[in-house]
Amino acid sequence: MTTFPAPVFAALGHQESWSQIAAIVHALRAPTHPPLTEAELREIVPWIPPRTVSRLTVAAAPGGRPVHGIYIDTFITPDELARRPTRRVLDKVRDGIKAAEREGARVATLGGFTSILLEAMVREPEGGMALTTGNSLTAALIVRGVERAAHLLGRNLEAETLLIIGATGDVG
Amino acid sequence: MADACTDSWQMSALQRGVFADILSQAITGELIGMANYAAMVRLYRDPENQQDVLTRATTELGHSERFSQAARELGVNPIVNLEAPYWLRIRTSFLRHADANDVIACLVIQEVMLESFAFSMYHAVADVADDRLATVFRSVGDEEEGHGDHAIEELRIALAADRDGLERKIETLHDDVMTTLAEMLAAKDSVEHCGLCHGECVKGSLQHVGLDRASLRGLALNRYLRTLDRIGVRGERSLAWVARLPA
Repeated sequence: MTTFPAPVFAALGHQESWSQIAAIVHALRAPTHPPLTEAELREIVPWIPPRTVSRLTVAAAPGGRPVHGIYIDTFITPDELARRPTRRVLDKVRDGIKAAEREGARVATLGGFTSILLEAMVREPEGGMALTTGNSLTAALIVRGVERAAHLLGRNLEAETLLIIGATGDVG
Repeated sequence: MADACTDSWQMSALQRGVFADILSQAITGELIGMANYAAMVRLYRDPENQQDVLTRATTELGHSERFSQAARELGVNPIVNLEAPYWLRIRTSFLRHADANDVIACLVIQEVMLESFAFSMYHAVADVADDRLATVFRSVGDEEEGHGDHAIEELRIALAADRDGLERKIETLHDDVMTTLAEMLAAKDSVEHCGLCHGECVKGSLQHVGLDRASLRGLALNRYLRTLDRIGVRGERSLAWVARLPA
């Protein structure tokens, strides 16, 4: 019987183009079946509810403790990406989070356009799972980088004036 | 989907014809459901479960009668054909598993696959039909949803006992039954005539009542995948199955 470890984390995302979606579907479709046209994909893919597409194991360093995770595709389509966020798109992100909860993940990172749920300050779904967009980690790494640069140059940060370019953006 | 037919008196002959063909599918599907549940009586040893599936068979018969009554009120004559090619194929698959005393396979076909198809189609029709017809489709759709919970629980238990075994079984059933259901709403038919439409295939006329083939198929697919999720089937597996469905 196949056993698979419960995932610690879930990464939520989506594909940027119909050609990427076609590549995934064609990889899953038996070679005996003719490939679907883009028109056919457009009929089917928007209806697929968010779900685990692959399972992955990562380690912070060679020989480090392996951490199990899942990639959940929300199946937000490129056409939906091109428009303003709609209730349907937000529902897909929420359903993706529910899929992560069903799998038992403790933390989910909202990648690409799915981060709109947190950035738009839309109320988070019920449940105890931690959500991150990756922006906090990016900001923390930038701060560390500045601290390290100052240290290497022998300058005291407390005596410096700092200019933040892009401070009004979500990472800033 | 647009242009709902909210008043049966203002409906054109073309629109009545579309609803007649939809009712033909609904009545035939319910009678197939009735026969399927009736065939399950012999799969159970205990009277409680026997009575349960018999009750469901009666409910399905009741649904077909309500659809027939709705057809009479609409002034159309639906075609009832249990030998219609797609439905016959599904019925034959079901009976093969019933004859093998495979309760789980029967539950998957009837409660997961056929229920997904019926629930989504009935609610889509209810959204565009006139008040009287909408009420019939919506109430039958809600009842279809209600009686599936017990089966889902049974399938969850079966999955917990043998994940690989149940997922393999559902995959086999998917390739057989779900492929047939998908063909019913596919752009191209694998049979010459479905045996239920009065003239040309209704799929080309659905837009006259505010429906469209692709959305009906998408809604059924969505419902089916969500039901598999509730059972606990791995998302990557069910995704691979639907990727193989005919376009």
